[in-house]
Amino acid sequence: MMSLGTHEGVRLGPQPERVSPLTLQVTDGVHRPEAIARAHDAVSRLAGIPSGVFWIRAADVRAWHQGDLRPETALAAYFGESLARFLFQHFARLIEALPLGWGTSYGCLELWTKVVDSRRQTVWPHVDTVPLHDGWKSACPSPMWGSVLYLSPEGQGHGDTVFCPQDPPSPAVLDLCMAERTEEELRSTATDWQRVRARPGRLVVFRGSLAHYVAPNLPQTQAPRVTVLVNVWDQVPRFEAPFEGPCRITPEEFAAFARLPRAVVDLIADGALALPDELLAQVDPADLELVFAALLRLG
Amino acid sequence: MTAHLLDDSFDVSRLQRDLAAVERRTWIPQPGIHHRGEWTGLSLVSAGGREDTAAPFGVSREEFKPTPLLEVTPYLREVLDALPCPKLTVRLLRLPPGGRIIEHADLDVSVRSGGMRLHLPIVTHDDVDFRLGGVRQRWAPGQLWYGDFSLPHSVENRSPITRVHLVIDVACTEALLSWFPTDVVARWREDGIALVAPAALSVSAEQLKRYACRFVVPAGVLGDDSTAGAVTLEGDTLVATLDGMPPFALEPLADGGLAITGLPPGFRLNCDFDGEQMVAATLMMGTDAVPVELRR
Repeated sequence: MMSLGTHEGVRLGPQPERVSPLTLQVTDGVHRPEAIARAHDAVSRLAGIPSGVFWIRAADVRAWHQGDLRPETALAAYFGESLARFLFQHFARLIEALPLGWGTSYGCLELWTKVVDSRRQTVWPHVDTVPLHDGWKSACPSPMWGSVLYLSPEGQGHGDTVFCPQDPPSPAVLDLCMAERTEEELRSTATDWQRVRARPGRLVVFRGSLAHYVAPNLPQTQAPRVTVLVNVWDQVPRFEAPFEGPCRITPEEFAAFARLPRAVVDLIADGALALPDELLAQVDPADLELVFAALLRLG
Repeated sequence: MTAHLLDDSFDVSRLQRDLAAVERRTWIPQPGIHHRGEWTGLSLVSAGGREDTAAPFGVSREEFKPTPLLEVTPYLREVLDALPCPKLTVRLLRLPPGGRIIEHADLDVSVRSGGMRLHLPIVTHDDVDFRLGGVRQRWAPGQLWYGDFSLPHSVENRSPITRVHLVIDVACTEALLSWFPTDVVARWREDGIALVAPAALSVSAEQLKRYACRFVVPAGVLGDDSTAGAVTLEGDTLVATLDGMPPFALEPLADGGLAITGLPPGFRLNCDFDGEQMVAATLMMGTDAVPVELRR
């Protein structure tokens, strides 16, 4: 899911025919609680892994299954050994959670994380897509399945995920997407929205073209909402800049990104091309230069 | 009886999950002239376990076997395992919005011929107009139904969804009959029910040779004209050939008759012997008995 910049509406690419009305599936306990707690700590230390950047090929997940550690090592260059191992374990759990036939027919997994401590009361309904060369004006492809793994401890008022189960979404629902809304505004539409409660170790698998948003953190939230997000794609979308390995940026560029303060990351994620002076003062200019160069390369 | 609800306890979300597992497969148009190609299916059990057909049962050289699709649909496998009877063809059949199956009757699916058609709706909608025996049927997802599809039936999907049913053709057994009301079964017995007959335990090649023959089925049975055929032994399998039909296998039964592979148990060949010599044969088609003319 590419979320750089703001876009009024989105046009989805051709959708595969859905035969089953299965749109959402919630599974608890896909990892041991200790593993979830360790992953929570590791992911929290990152500013958030941007979407549209990490693409793990199905062949690499299968190779890892058969004992080949090279894909895990390649990911460890970005996240360290422990988190990379957890992520590959998670990929395996996710594939197991999909309806059986899909485990052998996907092309790649898109990985990103979110660390949200905002108290913003507006929400951002969206559909997971990647823009093609002419950006959001084109018909954007969306993944076959999306997934959310909640890592934050229970009871801290973290934002749930809210889905519109229309599959694929109607033009009216798409019109609500890619813009800042209030939940009241969304509830006032004729659309049915289904809320999935955030719970540690809970995995939500959903059709990749469903419109969804993260509900605001509640006022009592004491720590960021931390999630691991993995989308299941038929194939790696064709990007202008070809890339090898699991990531479209280098480990050095990612390290620079990870050193940025979260406030800066949030602004960049919102499409900012310049930073206020008080944030600039907190940033190593070399890091910022690397990150913006990488983002420009990604388009 | 037009229809009877056999079980309404199946888990719809698990059915739909299994459906999602196979939805990207190539759905194959149903044979026949009752639709315009929009009625398509996937086979979960078929003759020889073939995936490249969604046709209902028919004479075959091969036994019914699960297709590879049943490996990725564990709940559908559970459903089938719960049925106390041999499965003939088992298919997922779908009809898209606007799809239509015009009225027809499947005369070879009846308790008289030992075949029953069961339906387990997985996705349906109030605006699907499904009629059986002139009566609008409202079968809900997760409900397993018996229907007498030898009666005229039709479907018109006026809804926005794709209707998907698991359609299970089975051979009649006493255990399956126990799922029906006793008065219904009593009426069926009066009319005649063909049940699965036990297979012969072991038959030597010499014994199989006794069945080899040439024969003629009288006019008006398989077509307007009489139909010539033969039974030959190929390896350790008896194979029948009939003009205008693909060759099919015959399986010796404990009572000396031959089951026709690919058809419900009511379709069989009864054979009379005088020592090692077959002296008479009767083609059974449910309750209809057709003497065939043997030619040596």
